[in-house]
Formats: sequence, structure tokens, C-alpha cells
Amino acid sequence: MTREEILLALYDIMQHQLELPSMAAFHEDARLNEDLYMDSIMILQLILHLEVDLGFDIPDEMLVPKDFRTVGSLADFLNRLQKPVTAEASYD
Amino acid sequence: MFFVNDQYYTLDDLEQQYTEFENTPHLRDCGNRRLAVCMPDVFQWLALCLFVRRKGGSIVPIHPSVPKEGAIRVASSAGSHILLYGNTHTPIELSEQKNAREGVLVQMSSGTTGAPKCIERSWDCIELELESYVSVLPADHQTTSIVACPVTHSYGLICGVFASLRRGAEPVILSNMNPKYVLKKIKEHPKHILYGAPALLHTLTLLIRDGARFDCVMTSGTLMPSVWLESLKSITNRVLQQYGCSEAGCVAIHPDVSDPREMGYPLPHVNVEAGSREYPGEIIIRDSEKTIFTKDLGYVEDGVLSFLARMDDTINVAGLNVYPQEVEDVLMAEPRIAEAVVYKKIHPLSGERVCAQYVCTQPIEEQELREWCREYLAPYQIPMEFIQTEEIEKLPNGKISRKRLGEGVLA
Repeated sequence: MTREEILLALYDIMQHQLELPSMAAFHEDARLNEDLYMDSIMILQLILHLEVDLGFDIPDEMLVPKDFRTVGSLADFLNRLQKPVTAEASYD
Repeated sequence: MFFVNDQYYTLDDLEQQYTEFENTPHLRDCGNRRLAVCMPDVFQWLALCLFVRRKGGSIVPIHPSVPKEGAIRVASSAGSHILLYGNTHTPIELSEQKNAREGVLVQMSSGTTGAPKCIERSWDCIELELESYVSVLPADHQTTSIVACPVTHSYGLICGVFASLRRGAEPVILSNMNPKYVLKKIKEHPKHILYGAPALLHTLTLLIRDGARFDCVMTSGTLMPSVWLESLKSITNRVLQQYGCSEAGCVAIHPDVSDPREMGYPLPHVNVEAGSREYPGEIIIRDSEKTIFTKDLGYVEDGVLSFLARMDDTINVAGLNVYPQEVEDVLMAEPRIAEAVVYKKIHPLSGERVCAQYVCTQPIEEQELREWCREYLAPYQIPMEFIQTEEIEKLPNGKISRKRLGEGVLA
């Protein structure tokens, strides 16, 4: 998935699965907590959809709050997940 | 002593923290004072809580996600003298007024039924609950409590952390709610009892892989749909459930749940009363100090307390009681229905009527749903109104407010 496609997929989950009432605020810079009003249960559901529906393999480590701060940072995080470490290294 | 996520804290670390508190004037003199605490650092929060308890002061836990203005409001309404927001160094002074009593844990009730109430429990009373709780919990000091729920709430704080320390085990407190991380921790501690709320437990059930299993799982707070319980049971050695309320703490434990309504056996330090299976009644809890009317409807049979519904949620259809959970279970047993909630609406002519909202994975005709219900339910139990929705509205604490869903009048 390209980063654009990831953003679309996030939009789709938030709109249709989580049915956030605050989708008008959806934007790369929108903060999940403050702007989209997502609580911990919604984040839990979001992770579940990312894993089960979209096949992302969320690592079993501590989630870095920075990654889950905004729609854009989450898209970056998911984008990084898709790339094998070696490939990522070769971009630098 | 205990883990917070990956970080291990020893008794020495705790003693060191106490010394630091002793050197902080507004903490050293916290006896007979009321401290509200809203802090992201779980270790500091727990250390402070234990410190204040030792000093005979009072503490008002506030969930770390609450913003500053909100925390000030809660702290003030709970009669706090100071609020520690974010850290222990910069207290916010709130009041100099004396409260009727100190030496208490103050909690705000969930507010499912109205405005949140301020509930005070003495440390002695919590001690008694702990002793009673540990005496019946089927877990020894080698069983690790994995606490995957807020430790600012009595379920996580008292039953998760304090009870574990009391039975000589080292709890693992998870503030990181990545479900995959929770699963990893479970693998690291094969002999465990996991404390969580139904929504988390269900998510974990859907994510667990490679034949992995849970050892013991504790659920509490809200009834788990039967289908969720079934799938959880299939990958868990033992599912436990506990029942209680902010006023009394935990009052009943079920050591091996097969029906989500069965809350289990009353703890030895309380007397629990409810109706019979034929005539359910309000669940009434008596301890040495007080009598608590829970506004929960239930019954006791063979020594087991069962919970049917919040009294406010029970639907009275022309004199017949309908318990929302019973109807929800039938709806959720339909394979295409992912989630369902049943609540009442007032019909201007005929009184209370059963209504339902549901989330489905594939489209369902309302007629099909009615026929499905007709197979399992009496006519008065079948919802009059079905509303398909993308998601069921929840309160900030993750609970469904049937009252809120039913607001408005049936057309």
C-alpha cells in the first residue's frame, strides 16, 4: 500500500467501522485524541481492523504515543511497518 | 515488587520514592488532607497512593487522560485540598475547607445513571475487602496478576494491584494498551490472571494466534455477550468474573463462568441479597458499616448471584419484565450480527417497548431478524424497532448507556 492508500484505508475504517462523529475534522494533521475524539477502546478497535481486515502486523511492543498522535503519524508508522528493515536502510 | 510495562520496581525503589515524598512539604503533611492525583507515571501514582494511605490521608484518583481543567473540576467536587496534575512538584491549591472525614479513597461513580457521585471508602474498609477477596480468589503467589485496565479505578487498583501484592505476587501493570503487547506479556507469564474489561478481552480473543492460550482471565464492569464469552472460553483455561460497585468494592467472584450473568459467590465480608429466579429483585449489599442499594436487578440461586440488568434498563412491557441482555444474546447469535444493544423507549400510548440497535457484517432484512427472534423469544420480548447502525454509541468509560439510546419517543 502506498501512503496515500493507507490514508484512505484509515479514513474508511474511521468512517465506516468506528463511525466517528468527528470525521469532518479528518486530515493528516488531525490528532486522534483531541480532534477526532478517539478513546482507548476506539484505538483498540482501530488496531483490530488494521490487523484483521487490512493484514498489518502491528508489532507486539509498546506503542509509541508519537506514532498514534495524528492521522499522518499513524500513516507513517503503518508505511514503515510494510517495509522490510533492509529495504528501509537502502533508502537512506 | 511490581512491573509497570517492562520496568521492574523493587521495594527499595518504593522506599526511595517515599523518602522523596517526605522531603516535599505538601506531601509530608498529607495526613488528614485530601489529594487529587492525575499523573501519567503509574509508578509514581501507586507510590503516592500507598504513601497517602500510610499517612492516613485521602486520595482522589483521576484517570491520566483527563485534561487539566477537567481534573480541577473533578478534584474540587471531591473536596480535594490540592491537585497534583502531571507531577508531584507543582501542587494546585484548591481548598482549605475541612471535610467530614479523611483517610479515604474517593471515587467518582461511573455516571451511567446520571451525574457522577462522589464515593468515599475508608482504608480499613478496603483492607477488609482485600482480605476477603484474596481468601476466595483461586490464585496463589505464583500466579501473576496482569492488570490491563486503569489503576485509577477500583477494579484495577484494588483487585488488580493491591490484592496481588497482598497475596505475595508481583503484579504486571500495563499502561500500554497495544493488544499485541498485552498478548506478549501473557506469553512471558504463562501462569497468570489477566484483569481486563470485556472489550479488551474480546479484542485479544480475535488477535491471539498459534494455538496460544490464556491461563485465567477476569472480567468485570459490564456483561459480556454470550458469544464473546464462548470464544474467550475456548482459548482460556478458566474465565472468572467479579461483581461489585464503587460503594462496596468487589462483593462476588465467580471462579469459572459459563453464563455471563452469573456473578458468582458473595465474598465472606458481605451479605448479598437479591430476589429469586422467579421473582428477581434489587441486589442489596450489606457490610459491617452500611447497606447499599445497587439499583441492579438480580437473583441468588444455589449461592450464586446472577445479574440481570440495571433496574433502570429493565423493560416493563405491559407488566412483563424484559432483560435487555437476554434479547441481545439472541440477536448476537445471528451470524451476521456483530454487535447489538437493546433498550427501552416510551410509547405514548402503550408504555415501555423493546428497541434494538445492531451492527451487522452483511445486510439483513428486518423481516429475517424478526423471524430469527421469533424462534427464541416471546412476542413481548421481540424488539418493536430495529435500527441498523455503523457503531453503537458508548460512554467515555466504554459502557453502553441504554438510557441514552432510549431517549426520544417511539414514533
